[in-house]
Amino acid sequence: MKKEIKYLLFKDLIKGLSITLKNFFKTPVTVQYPKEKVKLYPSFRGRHALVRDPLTGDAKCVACLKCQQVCPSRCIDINYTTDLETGARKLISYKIEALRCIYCGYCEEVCPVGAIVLTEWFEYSSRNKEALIFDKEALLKNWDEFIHSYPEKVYTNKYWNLKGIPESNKSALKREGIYVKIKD
Amino acid sequence: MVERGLLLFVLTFFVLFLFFLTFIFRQILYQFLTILLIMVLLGIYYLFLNAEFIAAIQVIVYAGAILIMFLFTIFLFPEEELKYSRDILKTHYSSFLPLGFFLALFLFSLFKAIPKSYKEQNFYFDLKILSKILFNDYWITIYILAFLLSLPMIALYIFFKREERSGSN
Amino acid sequence: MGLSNNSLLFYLFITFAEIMVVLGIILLHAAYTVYIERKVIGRMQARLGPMEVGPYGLLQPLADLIKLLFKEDILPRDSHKTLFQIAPLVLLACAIANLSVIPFNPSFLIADVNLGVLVVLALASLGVYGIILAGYSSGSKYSLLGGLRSAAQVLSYEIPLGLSLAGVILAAESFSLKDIVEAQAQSLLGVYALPQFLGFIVFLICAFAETNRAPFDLPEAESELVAGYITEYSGFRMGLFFLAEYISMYIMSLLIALCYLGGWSLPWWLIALFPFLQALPPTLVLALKVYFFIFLFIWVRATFPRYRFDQLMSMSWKILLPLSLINFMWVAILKRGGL
Repeated sequence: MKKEIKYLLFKDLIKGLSITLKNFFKTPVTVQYPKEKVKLYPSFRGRHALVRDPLTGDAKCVACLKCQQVCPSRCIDINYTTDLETGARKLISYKIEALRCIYCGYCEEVCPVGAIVLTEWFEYSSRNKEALIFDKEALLKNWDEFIHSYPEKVYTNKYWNLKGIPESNKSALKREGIYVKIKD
Repeated sequence: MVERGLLLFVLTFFVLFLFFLTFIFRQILYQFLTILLIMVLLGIYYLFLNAEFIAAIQVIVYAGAILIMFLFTIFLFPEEELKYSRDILKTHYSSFLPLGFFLALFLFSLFKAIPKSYKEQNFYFDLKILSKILFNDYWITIYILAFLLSLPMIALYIFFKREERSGSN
Repeated sequence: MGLSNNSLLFYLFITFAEIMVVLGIILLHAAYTVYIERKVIGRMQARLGPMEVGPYGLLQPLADLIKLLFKEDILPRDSHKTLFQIAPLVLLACAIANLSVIPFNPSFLIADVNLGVLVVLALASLGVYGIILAGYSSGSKYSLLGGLRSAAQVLSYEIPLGLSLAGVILAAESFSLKDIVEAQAQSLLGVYALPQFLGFIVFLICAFAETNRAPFDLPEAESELVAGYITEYSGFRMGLFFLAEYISMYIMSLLIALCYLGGWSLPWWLIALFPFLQALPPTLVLALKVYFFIFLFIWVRATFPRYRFDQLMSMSWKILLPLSLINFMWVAILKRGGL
């Protein structure tokens, strides 16, 4: 009997209608993408880039192959030569297949010198497959493009200076914190 | 009143035309559609007789409700019955000739007769008078009728309720 | 003779002009109802709705129209060609013809028939043929099932619809919509929705079912029947079906507003409370009531899930029909009591 009274008073129906009416006066969550853009947070991971060292004008990479080892999707390919006298490695080619990348950010995290970075640049889709396989020059160019419109004077990445890792596990550079000076 | 007479003439022509089409069509669906059109046109006939209420009821009940039941039945026919027309009558079209002659004569006489005999009647269908009679002189009958009509509904409700309960147990 | 011919021509011309005005207004309304529906449903789901074509997407109906006109007109191989082409026109004609008996204002009315309500009911029952023939002539099982469902639904909801209207007719002692509005304005409460609350609710539910709108949109249940009787239609023929649906939405809203909410008149207690309302033009009052019901149609579509077919039928025959009969008897008792 109680059920019938509820049924006759349209209690459920009015409840449902009130929910939709409440939603009607809420501001929509839609972002009209090409006209307005989503706010990016500091840990956003976008297009890959190799940091151009402001002192040497070349990549910071020391060819330690840590990123190649840690990459879960194995999209990084590095060639290097070893200087026989000093034992120092020299980078010959650095290739990232952005099509295979899963944007986990491990490479940034593991890099001892802060050479690789996933920038906040995300509009780089292409119909051309080759355009999404970045070699060293393309990666350096990505960095230039990204940094050209970067508003602040000093760039740093959250994954370069991760908190909570024991100091003994960090490289010497990382203990101080890696910062790239862009402008004076 | 020539316009009304002329309209009546055209209407009669259409009704008779559709009536013959009912025989000429060999597809059951088209036959059905001609009957439907005849039913609607009959409603217009009632309008000419100043019986608007009956016209509306004719369309609602005959064209709307009853013929749709026929249509449902037609849909239950096997597909071959509906699609393939049997050309039995094609050779016998000549038998329509005397009928056509008679029809032409009939229409001619009808057309000649209309302007003289057709006059607009003054009485209209008056709902107020009807409802006054129904609800003052015969109100007990109406009440009993309404009660009787609602009785099967209540009985059905109780019946289904009981069935539901026994089903759930 | 010449004079009468002249006056007949004049009368025909005036009627034609009136028809053009009403048709133009209703087509514009139907087109923009599609836009408003998309917009409102979007906002109810926290989206924006159409925004791209014109400012705030205001030219979207025009874009839709152009798209529909330029689409390919497909005639399925297994279809009854003639019936397939006629069916949408039947539906649309039956929807539009309703407008001829609906008064928009105390003095504007295309055809002053003294049986307005019955004409609307008759045309509604003829409109079913458009749907059922579209379903049959497409030669597809989805269409046939959609058409049959729709016919069964409309037929079984027409009975409570007619019976709830019978209460209004009994109270107003007239079949003419104009007289119903006038009788309503002079009645005790000013609107029939209050003394005949049951009838009002029954009519509202039946209006949803008659127009095949959610939550009774079984004939075009996307998840089961693709698009019901519209499945095989394309291009502008499909557009005609949509147009018919939106026009019949307006017809039903107009009927509710006229028969239950006092049409262009406002109840005396509302005017006593807010005297400034008297200044509103009658057509605007009617339009506001109609817009509210259109909004309700859209609001309900955004809210409720679809009924199952057996639920639909049992609701019509086991709930709405007895309720409308009870309403009818209640009105008879009121009438006997002299109210």
